[in-house]
Amino acid sequence: MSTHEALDNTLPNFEFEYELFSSDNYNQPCEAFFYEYVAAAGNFTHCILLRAKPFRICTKCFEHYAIMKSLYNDLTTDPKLHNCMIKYLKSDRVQIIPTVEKNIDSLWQTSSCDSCIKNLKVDEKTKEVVYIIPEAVHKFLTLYTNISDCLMGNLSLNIDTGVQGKKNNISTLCKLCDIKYQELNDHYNSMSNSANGDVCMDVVDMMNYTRVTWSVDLNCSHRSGDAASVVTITLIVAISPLFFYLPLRYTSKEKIKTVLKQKRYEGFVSSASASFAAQEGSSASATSLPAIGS
Amino acid sequence: MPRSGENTPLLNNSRLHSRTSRSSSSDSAPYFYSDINSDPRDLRDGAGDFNSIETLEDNHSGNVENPEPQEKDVKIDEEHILKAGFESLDYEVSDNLIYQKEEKDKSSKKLALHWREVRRWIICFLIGVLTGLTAGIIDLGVEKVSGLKFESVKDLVDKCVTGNCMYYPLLVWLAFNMGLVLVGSILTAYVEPVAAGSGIPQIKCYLNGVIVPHVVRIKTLITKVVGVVCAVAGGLAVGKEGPMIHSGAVIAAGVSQGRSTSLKLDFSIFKDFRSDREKRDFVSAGAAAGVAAAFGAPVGGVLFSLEEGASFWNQALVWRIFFSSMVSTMTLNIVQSYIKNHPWELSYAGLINFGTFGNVNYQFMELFLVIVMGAIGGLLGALFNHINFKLTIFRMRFIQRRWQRVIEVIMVAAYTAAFAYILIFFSQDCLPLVENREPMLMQYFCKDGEFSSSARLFFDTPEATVKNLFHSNPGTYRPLTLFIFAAGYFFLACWTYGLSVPSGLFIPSLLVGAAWGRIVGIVLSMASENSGWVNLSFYSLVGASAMLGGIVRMTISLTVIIMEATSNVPLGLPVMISLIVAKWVGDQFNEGIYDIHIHVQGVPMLGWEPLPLSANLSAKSVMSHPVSVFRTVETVERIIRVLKEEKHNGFPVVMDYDPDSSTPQENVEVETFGTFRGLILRSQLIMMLKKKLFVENPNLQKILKDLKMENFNDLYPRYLPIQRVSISPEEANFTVNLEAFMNQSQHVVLESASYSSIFSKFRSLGLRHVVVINFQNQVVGIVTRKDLARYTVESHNGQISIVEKMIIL
Repeated sequence: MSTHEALDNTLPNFEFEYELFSSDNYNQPCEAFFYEYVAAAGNFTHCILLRAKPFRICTKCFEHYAIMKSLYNDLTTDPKLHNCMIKYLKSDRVQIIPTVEKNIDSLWQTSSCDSCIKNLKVDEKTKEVVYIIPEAVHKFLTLYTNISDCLMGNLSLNIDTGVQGKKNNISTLCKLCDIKYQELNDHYNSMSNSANGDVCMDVVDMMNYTRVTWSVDLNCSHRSGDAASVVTITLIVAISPLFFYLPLRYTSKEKIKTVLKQKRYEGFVSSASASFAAQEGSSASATSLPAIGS
Repeated sequence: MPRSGENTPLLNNSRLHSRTSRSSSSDSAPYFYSDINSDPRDLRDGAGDFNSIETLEDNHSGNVENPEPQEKDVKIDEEHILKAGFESLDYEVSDNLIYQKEEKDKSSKKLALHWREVRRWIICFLIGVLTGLTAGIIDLGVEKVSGLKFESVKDLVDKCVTGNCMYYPLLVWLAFNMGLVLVGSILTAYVEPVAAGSGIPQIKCYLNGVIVPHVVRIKTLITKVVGVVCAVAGGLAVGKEGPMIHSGAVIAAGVSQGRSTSLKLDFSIFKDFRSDREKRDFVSAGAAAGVAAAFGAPVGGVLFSLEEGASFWNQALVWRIFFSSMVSTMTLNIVQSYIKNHPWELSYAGLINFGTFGNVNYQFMELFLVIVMGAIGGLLGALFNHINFKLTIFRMRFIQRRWQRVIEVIMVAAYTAAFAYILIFFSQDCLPLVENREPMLMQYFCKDGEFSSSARLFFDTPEATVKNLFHSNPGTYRPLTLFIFAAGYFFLACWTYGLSVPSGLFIPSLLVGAAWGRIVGIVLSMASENSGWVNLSFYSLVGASAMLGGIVRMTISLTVIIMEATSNVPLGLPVMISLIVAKWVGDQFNEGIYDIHIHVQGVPMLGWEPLPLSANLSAKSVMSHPVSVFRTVETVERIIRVLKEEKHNGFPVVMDYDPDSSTPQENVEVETFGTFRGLILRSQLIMMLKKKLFVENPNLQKILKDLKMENFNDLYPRYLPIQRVSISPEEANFTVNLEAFMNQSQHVVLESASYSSIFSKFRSLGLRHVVVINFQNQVVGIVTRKDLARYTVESHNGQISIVEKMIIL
């Protein structure tokens, strides 16, 4: 036991390898490129973790994402970096870099970030990140700022008053911000409907957060049904079968059916009837049915 | 011109015209068989309503010719009847001299043989494509119409939930459902009643060898397709799968004939295949293609045909059926890939019917739970079938007018909508809105940012709801909501099946089963301390298959269908166990729902096995006794008289028989009717009379030379009634030689043969007639399908006895 622990504690320090690889070779194009990529990936990872809640990955981390993507793209496609690609991307079983890249891509996709930041890329010459924010998203952000201002500004003003006063204030707050809230809600719904639900997660999260604040924290939403009328209609429907089936049951005349007399070898039945127990009741009719068995 | 017997309103008009034009030439003849009376094949026109034969027969029964006072009015136990209106298919080829000669010529030409085979494959391809397309149309129709409905209701709910007018969306919903269903039910009740229900019982009968009138007409197809879209979009507790199977069968019957009699279109192709034998093979391919399209299950389709119908199988046929199924699945997938915006992506996961069960694990011990669930499914299925059986009897007895049926359907539609609305209204299952991609998430009374999960059960097509119940996360539905849903849907589905509207039973059963299976899963996970092993998807799937198995009692094909529809093989074993246990348990109480409906309708269906105890019955007690026979050379006058008096379809041809002798035969135990030579069919006799193949006809040799088997099938499947054949008095004294036309290889049995052996012959060869002879080769009787099917078994206090069914008009 003790030897194991001793072994565990004395893991040799491999730092020299790292030193060997890095500092000396930093000036080589491949390594330089690679470290640039590592830095970009680090920035992006840091950003997305930081912006996980409230969810702002698309709107806050897109620059890091674009840089990282373009570097990775160069690494994989630039013929000058071919050996470098082999070295970092394909030389072992685990293949850390492609895996990380795949994860990041799928994250970007599930967040539908492309629907908020369109045409995202790094300009070749200026090395600047260029992008387009769609009109609808722009409008949403404006509306969101409006409602946030309305709620936050008024809420913080009245934060010191007593409980009773706060309640009144909240109901006035609801009235005050109602139009802005509805605007935001309607715009979000139209976005959601038009794009087949493909709205980026930042927008969805802003909306969800606002909705929760609105209807749970502030209790501004009042949805209720007038049960009486619904129940009345349902009851009418519910008893309708009685009015249908009962009259039919007692008025409708059952049709009398004609039984076809079958051509049978009568001699057989009469001669053999001793061995069959004739069925009671119907034995007299022309269609008498011999029951077989005991 | 006497037309006293004009009694079939659906009678084909073209025949009327041709008759009048023909009659003008011989109008002066005093001896003229012209009254259009009910030929058995015509009577099928009247008996078209599979689910409610009585009403329609109002028009007919009075007119049916019954020369002898042989009827008796009695009150009948509905469980023990056979209806006289059903006829058998002529699965056997009439092996007469003409046919033999033709086959000899044909089989000597290699190309001709190949060409016939190639055409069979072409037909199977067409069946697949057309069935897949039809299924696609149904899918699209249901999706669009119900999408429109749900969107309007959703908008109204969103508006009214703050405006205090919640009764308004309910009214709109009711109006939508009732309106849509009204269209479907009026079509069904007034245009083609046989399109009601799932169509599987009718197809089963057809494949078993019984013609259900109108079942493979194009009118039925149209009614079925439009009706099922209306019914499913109208929110009834129905699925579209059964109707798709029926549609496939109709398409197959139509394509294989290369014409439509109803539309008076004849492409003059595939003439070889105009016989019951070929048509029935193609219909089994069509049914398989229908299943394949309905569930995306080509192998399941083939097995469905095997399990449910086709008694006559050979490798080549299976191959072709499989081909049809495959083509139909692929066609539907292509259509679906367009609908789902992934064109030509045939491996797209959204095309799989019940979604993929990716990583559903189960332990060996859970198989015991599966057995218990199978038993529950069997019990519930038996209950379902029993209630539906009683309801069907009630409907047959008391709901007779067409408008009454329409009203009943509308009432059920209103009930279904009201049930859904009230369940959503009072159950407040709210979930946070994490997914914004699904458009039909209703908020109802939930807070902003949440949606009502109970609304999700109803605001979608039934298939999507099944998928939902299978795959949604734990905690989506409260057990109470699920319980009310399952119970309500159980009774609604039971009430709905048998209404005058096309309705499948698979999806409602799956829905109910998936709901209670999910409840079982939830209860288990609440009861056990470490609930990590409980997988709700697994339990809802097992519940669904148990419920379905309990109701329809199919095993192999359902297992494969479910495996294919979920594209998961490891789940096959639990699904199979639940289905088998459900079938065993259910069979202790009653039959599967389709068999119940077949028997209630009085269809002479032959089961797989002869009845127990039936070895005691001999041919003598089974057969019909005084037999109408024809001599090998028979007078025209007698043929016409017998054909008019009797409704039989096949007549033994005999020698040494004097029909006019009144002296009783001596020294015989059973009266005999001459020495047996062969059997001739009614349609052949009529064709001979029409073509004037009289011995006295000077042109006889010339006509005979040109005569082909094809001529006999010209009018198939709607042959001329005898009353429409005009014969002059002079011709009535002529004679006809039947020898060249009678079936030479007709099956016979000795009078001492037992019921079981006759039954086995009928079942395995697909016979229509068996002639009973004595040891001197003399005809003593004839056995038909109805003679065999009229026996049934009843058990009383553990004693089994055989009971005879009555045959009614």
